[in-house]
Amino acid sequence: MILSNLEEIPNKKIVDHFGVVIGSSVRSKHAGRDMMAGLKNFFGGELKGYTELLNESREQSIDRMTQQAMQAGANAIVNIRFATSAVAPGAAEVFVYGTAVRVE
Amino acid sequence: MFDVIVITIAAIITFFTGTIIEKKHYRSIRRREKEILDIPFLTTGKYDDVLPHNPNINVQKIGDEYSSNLDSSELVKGSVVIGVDYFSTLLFALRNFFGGKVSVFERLTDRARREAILRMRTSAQSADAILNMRLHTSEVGTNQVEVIAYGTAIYLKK
Repeated sequence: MILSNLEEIPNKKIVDHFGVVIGSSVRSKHAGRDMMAGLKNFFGGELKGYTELLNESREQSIDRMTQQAMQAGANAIVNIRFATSAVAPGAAEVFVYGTAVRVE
Repeated sequence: MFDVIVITIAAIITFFTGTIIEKKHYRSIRRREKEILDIPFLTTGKYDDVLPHNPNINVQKIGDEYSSNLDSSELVKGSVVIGVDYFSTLLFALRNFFGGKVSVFERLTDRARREAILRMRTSAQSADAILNMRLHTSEVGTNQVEVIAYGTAIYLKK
């Protein structure tokens, strides 16, 4: 599965078009990470626990979107966009969407 | 009275630690920005119009298709979550009351943005260009921002 946030895949021609595919995943922090992040919130600086949490969430969302595209019969996804938002205190949703196409 | 003392002590401690952490981070960002390979990264996908002076990138657009100088492309991303220290949250509450510029949050988003872009560029060091770069900022907790930078790295045929 080729992923791209361009409107086309370089060096390949789009021959079929399967519509919008999405993947999303919501994660919340667990107590251990939350305590360390609470301390970091006190002192400032990068919150590595949350960065990794959201990275894992993003990988999972990309996997879900790829699954949806494969089921539709596509072999590439173009025009990918990401979005993150806080949906509840302590939980963030990572949302990925793109257009599934078949390229040759 | 005890509460006021605890808050004051916490504010003083976190003011110093927060300033130190921020300075360290900025130093690290500046150092890595100098060291990193200067691969062009653009917010457009039409690089053949934007980079005509680079002799290594010579792509002809025939109709709607790019010529075969391109080998492959890859989605690259970099992200970071950064929070402010306790002293800054107190300062922000005060600022919110009286209004005005909150420079500590400006610096926060600036740090996060530069860090995310650096991480994206680091993950694509062998690429020839990064196209269609997008930035997205969001709040993932109280006074914590996540910035993600993503784009498409292209590799030319050697």
